[in-house]
Amino acid sequence: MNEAQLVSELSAALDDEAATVRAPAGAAERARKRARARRLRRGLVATATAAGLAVGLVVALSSGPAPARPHRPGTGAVQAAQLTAAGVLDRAAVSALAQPAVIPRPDQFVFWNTVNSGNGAAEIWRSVNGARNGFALSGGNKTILWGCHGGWQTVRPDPGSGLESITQRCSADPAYLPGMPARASELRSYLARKFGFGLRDAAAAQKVTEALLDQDYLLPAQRAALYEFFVTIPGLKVVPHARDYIGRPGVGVSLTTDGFTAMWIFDPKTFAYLGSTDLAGRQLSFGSAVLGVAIVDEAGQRP
Amino acid sequence: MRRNSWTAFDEFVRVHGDALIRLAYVLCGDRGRAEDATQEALTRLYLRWGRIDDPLPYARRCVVNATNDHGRRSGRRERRERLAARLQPPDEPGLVDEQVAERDRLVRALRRLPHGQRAVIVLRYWHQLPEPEIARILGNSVGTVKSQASRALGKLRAELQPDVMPVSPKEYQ
Repeated sequence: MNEAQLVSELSAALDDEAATVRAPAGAAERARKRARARRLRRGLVATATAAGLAVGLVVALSSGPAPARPHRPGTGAVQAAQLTAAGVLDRAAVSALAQPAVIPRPDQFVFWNTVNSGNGAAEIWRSVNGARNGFALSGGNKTILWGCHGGWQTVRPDPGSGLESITQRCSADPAYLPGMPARASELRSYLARKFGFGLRDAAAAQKVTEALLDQDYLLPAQRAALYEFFVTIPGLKVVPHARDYIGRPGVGVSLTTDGFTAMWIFDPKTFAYLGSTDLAGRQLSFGSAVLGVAIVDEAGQRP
Repeated sequence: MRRNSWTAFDEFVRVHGDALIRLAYVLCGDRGRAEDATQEALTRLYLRWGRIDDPLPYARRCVVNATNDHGRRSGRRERRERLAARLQPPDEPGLVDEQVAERDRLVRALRRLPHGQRAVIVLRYWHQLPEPEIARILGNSVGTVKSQASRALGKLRAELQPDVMPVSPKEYQ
């Protein structure tokens, strides 16, 4: 076979091979969502965490159903350094359940205050039901998080950008997930539906952390269920003397596969969630530290 | 000029989405991984949308890189797949259409190439892109593209000669 024949045959072979492959429906929308999530995670927009409630966290409801209460430690007397990964996660679940179950109103916002390896300090206000416009402050920049109401949203670019406003179809990106199960046994199918994969490797753990722990507001029972579900992942290790991104001492639970490590870091006394660290080999891929989360009435309002 | 990023991006995906996922598929040989790689490429593209003049070469580059990243992350699986491709039984004349068998052997031989050479072959001879554009997509020099294409074609020709390929004991590990 000469070169021309080889190339011709190869081209025909690849035509046959790829003939039935099609881009899945909704690829553009998924790319937008993932990009948005990544911006959040990297701090281009901001990063934040839900109700894991770091040290000093205050849940403040300006007109919500529960009064503001300081963080209550969970099972603080236990020596974290002696625990297994499952023991740490169990106590983190107990700690989460000890927090007040604050159910936000759909018209409210979830406020997160965080520091991450992307852009440093960041504050973010995300609409509880995804319908209202939120925004993020990071590195002196303000980024609007456009709300989506009834499947439509109106995007109004900065006046100086030269772009016109546009009204378009959208999918809401709510900060609160009322449909997320509060039982560990139901989370496997929920995560499979939401993410399309089983939680068996570090890359998947990173994605789940990114989406649920670092962006969405979880009720204490939902958070506890998630920690209990983490216990079922094979290969977890405890990291007794971990530190979060801003250097707070903690106890870590890590999962390493294919050279990637995902680690959740908890307060060694209260077992509240402090943040996450991702490593590629031994290099820091991403680190976040949660300073606080609160429910507020308006975007821009601080507790 | 900055374009209307939302509608233009949708249109780009509508027009080029199939071609991008096919590129990913022929590079990695697995539909699920091709979907993941394409989605990753589109996400990266969207993050830079409006800041790049010509999105198609960038999208292709992202697809090529994403299929390679995926391979790096699942090196053991890729080794297993390469081994499986190598251990395919030789085609039995008369049982299948000769042309179909020949094309199957070509695809399997292509999958045994290193990722960089595979990408060059696919972009050069299937997408029929000029060498400078391939160099831009892959981040290589034109000389490297030429030499990789030449080496890859040589390997394809050589691999198509015998029916059974030797298997290194290392690949069983």
